[in-house]
Amino acid sequence: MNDREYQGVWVFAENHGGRLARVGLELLSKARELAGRLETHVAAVLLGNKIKGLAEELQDHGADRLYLAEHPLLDVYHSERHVHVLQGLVEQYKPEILLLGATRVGLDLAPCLAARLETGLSAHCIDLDVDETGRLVQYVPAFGHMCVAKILCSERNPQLATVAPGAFPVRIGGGGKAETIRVSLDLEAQPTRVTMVDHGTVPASRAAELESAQIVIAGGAGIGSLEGWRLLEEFADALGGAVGATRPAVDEGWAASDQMIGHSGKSVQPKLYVAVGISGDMLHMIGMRRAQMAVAINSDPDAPIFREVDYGIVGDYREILPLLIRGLHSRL
Amino acid sequence: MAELRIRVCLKSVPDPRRPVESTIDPATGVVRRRADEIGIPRVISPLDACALEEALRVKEAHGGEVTVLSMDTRAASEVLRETLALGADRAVLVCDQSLAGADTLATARTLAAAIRSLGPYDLVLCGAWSYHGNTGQVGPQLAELLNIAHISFVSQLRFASPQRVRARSEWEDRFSVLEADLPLLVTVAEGINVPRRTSMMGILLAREKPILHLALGQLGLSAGEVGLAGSPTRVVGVSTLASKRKAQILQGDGGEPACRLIGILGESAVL
Repeated sequence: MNDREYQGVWVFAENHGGRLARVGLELLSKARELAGRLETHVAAVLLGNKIKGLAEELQDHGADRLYLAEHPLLDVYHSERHVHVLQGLVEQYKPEILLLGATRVGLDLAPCLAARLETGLSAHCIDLDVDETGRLVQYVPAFGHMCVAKILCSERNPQLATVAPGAFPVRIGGGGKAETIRVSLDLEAQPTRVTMVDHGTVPASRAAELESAQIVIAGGAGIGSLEGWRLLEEFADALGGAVGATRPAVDEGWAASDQMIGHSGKSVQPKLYVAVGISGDMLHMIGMRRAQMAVAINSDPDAPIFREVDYGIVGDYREILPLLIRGLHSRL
Repeated sequence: MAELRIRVCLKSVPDPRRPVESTIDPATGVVRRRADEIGIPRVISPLDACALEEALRVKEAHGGEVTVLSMDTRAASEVLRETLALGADRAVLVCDQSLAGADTLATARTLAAAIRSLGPYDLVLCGAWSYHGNTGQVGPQLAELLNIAHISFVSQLRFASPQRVRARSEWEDRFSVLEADLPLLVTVAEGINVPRRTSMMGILLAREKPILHLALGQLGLSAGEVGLAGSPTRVVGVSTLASKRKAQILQGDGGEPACRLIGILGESAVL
């Protein structure tokens, strides 16, 4: 062990309806590696209701300490309450690193916490490391560019980062029998400025299967119209693939926000990825790096995407997609 | 009902509809953006445009004034002029050399000071994330530093009573409906509205509207609290992601490239 005031690599174990979000397990596997090099422990922080059953799963994935904050009022994510509880834990137990998934919950919780603790926070990390002084190296896609920025928070603690879902694999093991620390909460007495009057789930869109899809067809700004987007969907149907989108395509309203692939969206790992009307902005490309084979169709021969794929077709997708659809149908 | 004092924090970005290519100077590690070199116009970051639109709709429905704030260089003046043409009453450019290199916390601290310097306010609106940068951290951090309530990822906003907002908040596959009294900060998510376009009348009216400039001295902050000096995080290096792809363009006339692609897919057994 070491004598640092701040110790331990913490992972926020996001959970909904009694199930852990996958990204928390991904973070535990990376936390194990970082903690090994820092000679410290890995802790999972679990906030929710009826969550005791999740403790074992977190232990199996590498947590050797569990902070358990269980309360009916933590059943559904409530920004103020979650920030309050997490802040209390961090101030009491002083972790050196706290990792959260770059999900909407993580992206709301982490900046609030960072502002309260006046510490550094990086967003949507795609990799993490420890430098020679034992500080967390945070790799984030540098906006709009095919490059990655290396970020350090060298003076403040804890070092906070949100990490893109899919950045790390899930691994079993690594931790021993986890020590559980139960947090006593008096949330009824805690005033909140925001009141939840309703909550629920929204029906899954075409994006539900994106992360596990074998074939992903993604469209970008170059699609140009909702009519064009329908053609893209028809092409995806012909291939039996899921449909993904870039940020501009989501902003145009052609695709739902959960179809977004890239920096602040999903990370996919299909056998085949086809980019249609996508120029090749880093913010998108970061989400398709693990595709086995990548293909691009774009009318601009100079589009950067052609350097980031295996095969490219230069041309108007409105002519090329129907040819591909016909060709695919005749193969079957 | 008292007139609502609405603040919209926004950022200008190179037009996302235009392709941006960039290279890194191998000697200096400095990123060169083709967007800057070929003069891609700056626009309001898409979700910030939705935040402004929502502010204008609230003003039209309930009365009040809309002040737009942006921390940027003077290059943002044109975009601020556009916000005035769209209907904002005044714009504030927070601009000072000492602000350069700010991370999200230093940015939020600067914006919080700027908002406070303008007097009391009721509603602060921001895009949930900006197109470039994309962290989505400034909104929640700003709310914390202003010590006011916030609601993130809002897709619908209305008033439950003159001083109370009801908003629907989107959390991937879930939603929540939340209420809070003013003052309140809201970050808007995609789909909340379709921003209006500038009109000729708006452009004419904008000529009479003020763009205020706020420098560090007017914010009540020290140079150590803002910019790079006030940022707990810093960029210590930039590296490229090397592509290991074949990058082969399928040549040929008419339908030939498409036929070749189907052949390749068939052989590779990805289908």
